[in-house]
Amino acid sequence: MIKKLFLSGVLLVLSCWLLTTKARAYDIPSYEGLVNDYAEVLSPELEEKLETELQTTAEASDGAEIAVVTIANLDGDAVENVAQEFFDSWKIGKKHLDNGVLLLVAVEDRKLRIHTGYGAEPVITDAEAGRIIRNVITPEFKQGDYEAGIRQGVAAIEQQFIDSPGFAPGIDPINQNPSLIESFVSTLFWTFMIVIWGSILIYVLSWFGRSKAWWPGGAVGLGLGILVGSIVAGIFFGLFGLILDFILSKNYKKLKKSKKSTGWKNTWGGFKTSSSSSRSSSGSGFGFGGGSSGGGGSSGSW
Amino acid sequence: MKKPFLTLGVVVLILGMWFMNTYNGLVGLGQQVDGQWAQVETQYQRRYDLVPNLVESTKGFLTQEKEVFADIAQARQGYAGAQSTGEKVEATSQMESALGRLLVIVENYPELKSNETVQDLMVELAGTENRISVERKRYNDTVRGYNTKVKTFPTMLAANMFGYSEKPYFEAVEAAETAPTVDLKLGE
Repeated sequence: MIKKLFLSGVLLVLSCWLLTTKARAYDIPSYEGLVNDYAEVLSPELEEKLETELQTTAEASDGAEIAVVTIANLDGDAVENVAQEFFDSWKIGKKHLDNGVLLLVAVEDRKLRIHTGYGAEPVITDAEAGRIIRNVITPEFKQGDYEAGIRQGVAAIEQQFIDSPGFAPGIDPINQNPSLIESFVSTLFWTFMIVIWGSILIYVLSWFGRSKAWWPGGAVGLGLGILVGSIVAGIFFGLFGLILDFILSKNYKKLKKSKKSTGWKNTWGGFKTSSSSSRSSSGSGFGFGGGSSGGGGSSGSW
Repeated sequence: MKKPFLTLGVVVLILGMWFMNTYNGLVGLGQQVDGQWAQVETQYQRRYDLVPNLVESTKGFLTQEKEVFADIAQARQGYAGAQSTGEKVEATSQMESALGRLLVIVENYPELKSNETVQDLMVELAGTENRISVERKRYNDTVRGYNTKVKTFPTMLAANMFGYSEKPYFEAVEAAETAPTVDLKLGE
């Protein structure tokens, strides 16, 4: 009973933490792969061909992740901002290499951008990105041939990577955004610490206070929880303290009535009555590697 | 008789742990803010290094436009001599308005617009401006996280005790940033 409540409490705290995500200006959809043709300007054949080709590049060790995104319009935002948000949201490129490149085309706005990750900046300098846009992509776009423009643009981007083998790995700026795993582990650690120490404190108080009322454990738990971190922790500790104190006090009364020993040893710490579970996660399909971008690249229009 | 001491001991231990955790958290966030500011300055330096090339490649064409080059040179000197963050921000906004004017001028000279070197430099400049705005936005986000910690209960108790106060946002230049926005339309 206690264990179940305890576990569900931990899960509640964790799920609340996981649900807290940032709101964004332009609504970034989740990706289907490296090629995301939201504006539907590519034929299924070309889309598949590009996807296979780009995935092969991306899956090679330290391979560059080149993403192609077409959208209908920018929703009034600047193409640089939208590209940055796609990049930040999807984390294109391998982590620590930051070798992602995004080719973003906003069809109705007639705007496009080649956006480079930190590590891709020396491979495709802004000037080179600008030249690809001016000389390779926009001439095709001007004639309305999006397929040719995108295909040749991607080929030109790939050529940049081929021409610079063993390019300098990305300078990971500062660790401003610890990875999900890192923050998950740290949150897990602190939740663990708080739960352990809080439980010990509440237990000690409940043990010594069991001859009196059954509710102070709850009050102390609530106060402690709020002090340590959040309302959620407060409610969790409050419930925990309440139940613990209630059980200990009840058992104490029972023992008193039947004139049995109320010592710690004889009562198994006050419970007289006591499993584990594990969780695993799975993933499938393509996933970007966690790269970041400082806003490099070049924009153009046609 | 032992009870109150034990309880007190446990409470003190928990409080001590909380203070330690909070203090370490504040130190870490403060470092992040400083680190992010360094990123902004790196991009300023990049622009600063880029400007002489741009000036050299366009000066020959723009013989009548002496004023804008004088302004750029002055802003550049101002940035080089800037000591405090405030002075740097000041020189930066001067540089931004001068560069904005240069971009408009270049637009009006077709022979410049078709020059491949000038086009490359313009793209590099636009890229640098975008990097600056990205890093500034991140700086503001980092400051926001830090300030929220410093100002909200109960972290503020520890923040006040250890002398951690609010850090400034980048608002002043964020406003000036809109001024030199120039759409190059180089592809046309």
